[in-house]
Amino acid sequence: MKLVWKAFSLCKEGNREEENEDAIYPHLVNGSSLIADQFSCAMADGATTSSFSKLWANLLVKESSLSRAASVDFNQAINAARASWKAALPDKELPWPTAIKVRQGAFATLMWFHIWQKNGVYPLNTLPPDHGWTANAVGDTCLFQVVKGKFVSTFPFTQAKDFSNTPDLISTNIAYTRSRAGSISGKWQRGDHFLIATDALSEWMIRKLESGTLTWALVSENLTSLVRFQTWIRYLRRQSLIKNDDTSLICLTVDV
Amino acid sequence: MYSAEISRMNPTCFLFLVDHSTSMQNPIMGIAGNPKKSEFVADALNKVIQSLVVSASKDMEIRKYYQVGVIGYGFEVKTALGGELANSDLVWIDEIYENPLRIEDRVKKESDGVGGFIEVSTKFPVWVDAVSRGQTPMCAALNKAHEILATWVEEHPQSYPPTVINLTDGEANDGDARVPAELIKSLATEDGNCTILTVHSSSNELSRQIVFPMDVKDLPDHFSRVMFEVSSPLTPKMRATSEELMGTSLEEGAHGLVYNADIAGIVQALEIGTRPANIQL
Repeated sequence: MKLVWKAFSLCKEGNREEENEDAIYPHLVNGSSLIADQFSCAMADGATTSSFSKLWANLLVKESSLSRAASVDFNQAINAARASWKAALPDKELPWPTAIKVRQGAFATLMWFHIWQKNGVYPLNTLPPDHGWTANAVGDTCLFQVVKGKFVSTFPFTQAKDFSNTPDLISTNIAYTRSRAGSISGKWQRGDHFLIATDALSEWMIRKLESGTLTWALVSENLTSLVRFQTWIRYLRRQSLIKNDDTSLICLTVDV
Repeated sequence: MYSAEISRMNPTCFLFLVDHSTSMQNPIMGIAGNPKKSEFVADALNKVIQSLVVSASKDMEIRKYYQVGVIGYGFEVKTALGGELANSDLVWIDEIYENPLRIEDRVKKESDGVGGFIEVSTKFPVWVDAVSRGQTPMCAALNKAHEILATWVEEHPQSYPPTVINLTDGEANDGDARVPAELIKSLATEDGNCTILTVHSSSNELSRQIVFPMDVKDLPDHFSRVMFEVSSPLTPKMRATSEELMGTSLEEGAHGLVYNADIAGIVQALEIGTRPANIQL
């Protein structure tokens, strides 16, 4: 199958771009075409209130994406990310507030997405053998499937009222992880688009879906370049249509 | 209202007023062997400031999410912060972190994550010491708070409004505290009016603790009714935190007063007043 990859991000207004705690994996050039029997990608949203959550979000997307390629269990991948996070913390003695925050752990959402044309190495006994996709999610980073130019499904949230300031999160401290990953799977056909977005944009899109005003044309016209995407998000923020938060989007198009 | 995100662009402000009157040297709840009220309040205040520092901590820095002031009132009315901070009415939280009076080594119990507890040695920074000398010039302290916050709200029109927490064991002896309290409560940002919480510590083990009363008639005497009127209704977030900590829901209109607070009451009231629940994911 041939996939076309686009990914965009814009940090919260008032923050520096290096403080953007949304994470995307893999890191590909926008517009890249990928020829593969299967492909994994992921997005995570690090929690502002915890420390080293940007690091945590980046490790989660990397380990989860790579795990499927290597047929590793999803939870094992998260445990591998936990070990990497601990190993990556500064060696020197931490200031006392930082040490307390590290003990409390870092937190992030995670959306992991896997798509295949033919059965791959992953045990897919309960999933469609061909032309299938699956996603695992913890928290409010959402997946949207667009079929024949229409939004047909959203996951894990389906209603704008599902969003809150206290989404489920994965912690570096296993004792504080509040929930298990939800999962979904389905079939794809040529021309489908899969969008993954962090909560600010996801909430707006689901609200527009609820009012029947979200069209593929409205979204896609803002995905022609990073500048276009960022201009769109700044406009939505200025109009108070989305909250001021790090905002990211992946658009994966199946081009067969 | 009361929904503005706390950020470096729009920080908020916590102003603590601490009764330094001579009666604060009596044991809390009047029970011999209990810590002195002044010592317990100072300890609780240091823990709250520590929590604010931790909540503003991000990776290796302390973000300027809050400005904090501590005004002591007793033989004098002035900032109770010492050392480098002694000349400032309001201090950014990162400067607070950098300038404790001292850091003590303490041991505390923490969850081991599997149902038990472990003892963890911890650093305990001290910013305020216990003081108990003089009268109770609460009106002067509230007037000073008004003066500080009038400037603050002008400079931060879009911020979550300031929270004033008054820790006392007695009544004002320099006038009617309701007058300056009304001036403070009339100050506002676009997100709401300044709020005042009153934590009145108990002097008698037999006195009944009254937590966040709904109606002035719930209070037993003139003095406690004045305290009720000095205090603001709790904000929705404070009510939610209160429900989480105490397990009982509070209706709109519950006032930010804990009267005859016992040890747990003082600690809970401070957490309810200061928990920065509005830093968004």
